[in-house]
Amino acid sequence: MSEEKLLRVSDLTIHYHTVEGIIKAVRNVSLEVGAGDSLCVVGESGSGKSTLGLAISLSLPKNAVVASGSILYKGVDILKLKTPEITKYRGKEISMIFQDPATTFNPLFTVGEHLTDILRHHFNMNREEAVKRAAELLRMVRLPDQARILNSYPHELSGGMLQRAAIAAALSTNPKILIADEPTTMLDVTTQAQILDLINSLKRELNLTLILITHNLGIAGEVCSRTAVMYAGVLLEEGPTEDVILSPLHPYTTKLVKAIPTITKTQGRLSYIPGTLPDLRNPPAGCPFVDRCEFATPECSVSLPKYSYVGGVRRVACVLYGGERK
Amino acid sequence: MSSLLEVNGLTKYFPVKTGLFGRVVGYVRAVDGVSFEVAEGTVFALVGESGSGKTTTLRCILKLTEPTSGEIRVDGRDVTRLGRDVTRLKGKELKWFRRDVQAVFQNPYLSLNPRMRVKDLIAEPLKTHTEMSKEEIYRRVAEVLALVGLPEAVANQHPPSLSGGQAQRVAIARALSIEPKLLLLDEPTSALDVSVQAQILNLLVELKEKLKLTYLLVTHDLSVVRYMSDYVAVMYLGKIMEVGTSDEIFSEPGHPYTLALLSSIPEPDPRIKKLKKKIMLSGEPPSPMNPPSGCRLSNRCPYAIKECVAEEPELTKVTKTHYVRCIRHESLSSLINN
Repeated sequence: MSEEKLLRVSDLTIHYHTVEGIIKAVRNVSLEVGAGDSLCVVGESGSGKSTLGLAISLSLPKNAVVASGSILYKGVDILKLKTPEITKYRGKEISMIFQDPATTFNPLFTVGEHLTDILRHHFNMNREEAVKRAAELLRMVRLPDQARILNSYPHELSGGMLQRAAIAAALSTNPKILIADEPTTMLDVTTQAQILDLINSLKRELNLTLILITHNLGIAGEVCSRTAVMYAGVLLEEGPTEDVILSPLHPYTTKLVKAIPTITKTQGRLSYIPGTLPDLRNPPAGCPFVDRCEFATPECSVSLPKYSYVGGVRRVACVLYGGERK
Repeated sequence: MSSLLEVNGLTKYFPVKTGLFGRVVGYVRAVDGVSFEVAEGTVFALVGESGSGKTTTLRCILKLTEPTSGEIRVDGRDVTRLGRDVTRLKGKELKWFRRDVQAVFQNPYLSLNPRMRVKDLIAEPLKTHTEMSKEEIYRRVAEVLALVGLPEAVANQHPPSLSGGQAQRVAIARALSIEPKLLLLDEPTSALDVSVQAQILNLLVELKEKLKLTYLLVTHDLSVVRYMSDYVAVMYLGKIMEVGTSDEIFSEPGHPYTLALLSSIPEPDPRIKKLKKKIMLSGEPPSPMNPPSGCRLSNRCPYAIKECVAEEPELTKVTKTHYVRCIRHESLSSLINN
């Protein structure tokens, strides 16, 4: 891969310093996303997927420490930026939407005030221009009756409408990258289908680069061309979404796919993953899945497995696949 | 096969009050005439989105709220008027009902007292409902812990130190300790990760067969319904829109709303995704304070015609077990393919 990708995360390790010790949330994660690509990061709770999203959007909380690695955006290491520089990227080039739209908005301000604030801050617009542009943005996310919604407080809108408004706010700065962290988890299925449809068409219309973080493999299949699977802070597998779901390589992904009940078939027992997530304060030195894996060998506990490349477009961190270094 | 639970014309209206003196300005019709029967030894699922009234129905059956009208019968006995005053929960007449009907809720960390040890949590219903001695009680506690697949060491722990899956197992153990006949499951796996969800679902199915239990399952997750239910009722804005066996609902859905729900589920398998016909509802559910006239889905349904707005359709019979509340259900399959 000689061409420079829009986003290149290399060897990223993030620790949270808490009273209970240092939590190793993300360990040695590397990934690349090209302009206009869509990547889904899939994992269960504690997999580090949200921390990865927060790191890329430069929104890590204060107790998070980047222990190693870099995030190159258009060749600039955005983790090394100082405060005035950061604001040129955070929310401007890289925007983020979250799971609960109700906490995205300040309940004391109207949707219109939120949107015009962002626009006036980033583009030096006057009030009139900002209001006009805000209405345009609401139309873009297919909200009807824009004038009324601009004057509404967050509690007056439903979850689906509010998530649309949050998307409008995130896109108001014309970002290149949109990070969506579980954008539909709080919503009902029929509303979820509408929001996913909206994200899909905005991605095409605006040529957005999308990083979608979810626990739901079904959503990965609906939206993203590539999927990365994370477990206990480690990126275990990455490849085209269809391949990852239909023929998973890593033993964890294999089990995860089988554990999902589907409406298309009735099955006997669901297969499940025995055991629990390792303690992230003191994760195993080797493969994080070693304690729960049926194929585990002594070699697995020694060090983090290196990536093996399969068919040129897929990689997997598992000793089962040989493990030659990149 | 007799019905263990019968619900007839259940309604629950919540008054909407305003101003200093609490003037009633309207009613939220959370449950609006719901009837169904759950046969002994089967799993009956109520599915719907938020605001559909599925949880209110469950709360009425559990006697956590007083229904506005309607009748609930358990084992043939009318329980609607039992211990009518909710504050009088100690009422003797309620005791057999509390023993026969138990519940497991969505979030085990909220339904289990964080300051009690697991063994005391499970012993609590035994102390209330049985004459067992202390030794007998703790022997039984060890028994049910083994039944739900928890190690004995868990008995001395407190709920906050348990994982989500373990805590939900404790909640199930507590509900089953006094051998109820009917178990109400309110979103039992919605707070859990996929891999843990699979364990709990397997456990519930095993326990049902082993102990010959009857389940009433309330959930928004159709794949969970598909996995474990015999009968399914689809609810929307306080009414049952369609009811039938699991196979009927999933293979031959007769209501546009059921179809929309089914097609909204993100499908992991791209091969199936390509075959699936997508039906998307426009807009969002209207307020249950003033549902649309006629069919409640009429303002969002892609197949709505004049007649749909004019009159509220009845539940009409398709087969012996399958009923649909839609006047166009017979032509639905041809409508979809056009």
